[in-house]
Amino acid sequence: MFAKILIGNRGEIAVRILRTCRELGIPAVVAFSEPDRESMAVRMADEAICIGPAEARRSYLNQPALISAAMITGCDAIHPGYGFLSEDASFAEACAVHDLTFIGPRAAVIERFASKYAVRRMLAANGLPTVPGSRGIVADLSDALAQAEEAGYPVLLKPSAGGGGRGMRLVRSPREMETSLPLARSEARAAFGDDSMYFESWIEENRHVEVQVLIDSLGNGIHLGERDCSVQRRHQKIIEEGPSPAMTEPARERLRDLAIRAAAAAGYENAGTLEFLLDREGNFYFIEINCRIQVEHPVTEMLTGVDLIAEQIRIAAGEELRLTQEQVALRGHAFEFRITAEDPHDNFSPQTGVITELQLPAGPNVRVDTHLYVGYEIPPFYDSLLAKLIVWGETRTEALAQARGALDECRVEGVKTNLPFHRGIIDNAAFVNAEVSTNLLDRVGPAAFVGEPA
Amino acid sequence: MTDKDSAKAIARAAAELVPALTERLNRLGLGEIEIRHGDLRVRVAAADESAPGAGVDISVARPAVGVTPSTGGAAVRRLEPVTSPAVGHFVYADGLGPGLEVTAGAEIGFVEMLGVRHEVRAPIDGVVRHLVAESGEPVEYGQLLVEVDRAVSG
Repeated sequence: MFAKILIGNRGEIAVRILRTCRELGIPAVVAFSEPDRESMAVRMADEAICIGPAEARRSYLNQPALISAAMITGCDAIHPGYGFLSEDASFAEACAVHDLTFIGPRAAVIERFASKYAVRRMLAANGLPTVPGSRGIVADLSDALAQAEEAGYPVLLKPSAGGGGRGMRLVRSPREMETSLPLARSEARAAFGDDSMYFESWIEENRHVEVQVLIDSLGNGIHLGERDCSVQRRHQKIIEEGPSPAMTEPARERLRDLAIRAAAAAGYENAGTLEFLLDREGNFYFIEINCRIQVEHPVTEMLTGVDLIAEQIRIAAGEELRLTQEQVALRGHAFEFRITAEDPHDNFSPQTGVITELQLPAGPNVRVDTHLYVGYEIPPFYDSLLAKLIVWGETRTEALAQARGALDECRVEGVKTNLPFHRGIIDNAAFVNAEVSTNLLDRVGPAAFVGEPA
Repeated sequence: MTDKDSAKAIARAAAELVPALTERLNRLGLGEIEIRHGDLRVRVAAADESAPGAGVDISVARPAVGVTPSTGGAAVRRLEPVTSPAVGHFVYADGLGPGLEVTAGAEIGFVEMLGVRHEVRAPIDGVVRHLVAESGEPVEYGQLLVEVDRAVSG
């Protein structure tokens, strides 16, 4: 096991990782940027080290700074959290060169799973159905136009290097392709340093379902069920739940089974998530694999009782999986609500400010992952996630009742949040009846789910 | 900062910073001076808050190391903090020591981060006053290394 772990992230996930390190008895060092000096993770940490200024490129994305910080504090592993360098093969490689373990898949594995298009082909060969789309990376505009004509509009343009919805564009006509392709390319270049694009046929009414897997370095793999992340706004997830309310038990079993078999066969390692589109008829199509711990991992933790961060650490340390598939028991239903500093009454514009009042819900089936405290000033430099509210119930209906109570209890003052949006959506018939597709909010407009400002 | 570093920083503050601040407080007739660096916060206050303080010669330099004047008047920065531009090991330039006159841009030392030298240069013309860091010491980004006393003409 590791002697000491450097946490190369911020916000709630830094706090989350710190907690697991403590539970495992592993000392941890929190790496932080200047404006995060007063963050909760830094306050909680026994040891913390400033790695750079506010600009992520010079701090949380600064590979030499993170590696140097790990070395001078005597760490032998780095947990990258999510976002930032969590899926960067060059960083995983740089860690290895300096005798540090990157807590995630090894560099060669990330490399192999980095190109979305190549992964689609690789997993299709291992038995996963994929969405029909372009034959590989589109060469140029005329190639894109010709191929889209053949596949039929609409299509979803995607950056091969991408993730997190950036650089993705829905294209409904040749005319839109002409304007969207260059825009999507420049977005992808800015975000990922790679502008190769491919497209998939657009499945108008779809749900987003993803399977959580754990695979150790010996190739033993288990799945921990799926999460349904269909409540999205502009490709950003807002509410996640598990199990998927839109699938029958046999369909879920089949999906989970196919996912873990394909991922293990393809040589995946550590914690990963295989994302699928689910159409109205219940067909599922593989989209991509995420090589990191995900924001919504607590949904799975609530259902299984497995600490996914602890498992990531154990796998990275070379340990064999402690659980067999038979020992993974999925119980009940869980929801996660992403509470963000965004004003739902003003087009979800990001907010900054000082937290003046904070009342977080609690109870036997309620969990809140957050880095907020009264007096905390939300810096304007990073993402707007403030807290994740996770609730559990024996059934979806019971979990929904838990969610209502918990959301009503929750108060965050000093900055506008999307809480009114969450409160609105959980009473919406489409959500209650599990009929939300990923495009609903963008089609109807989120305003329909938000009450008038008080 | 490591625990060891914290302990060192506190010892250093007690030995160097507090006397230096007290001396400055008295000399300038300020109400109070506060310096923060990382988790370290040093605040020195005068017994008599009504002490006249016309000439304030210290002001907020940068977020990492700030000194807040409690009285009005033109803020003329006198002690200029020199902070680490990188995470790594800090090494002084040859011959650098307290009392050495430096011109803006003169080499104070460097921070070595994974074999790459990040130069540390004097921000102003002045006299090197306090060597806060030790040569060879691991430093974090923004850590106070040296204070340069602004050369006061006339």
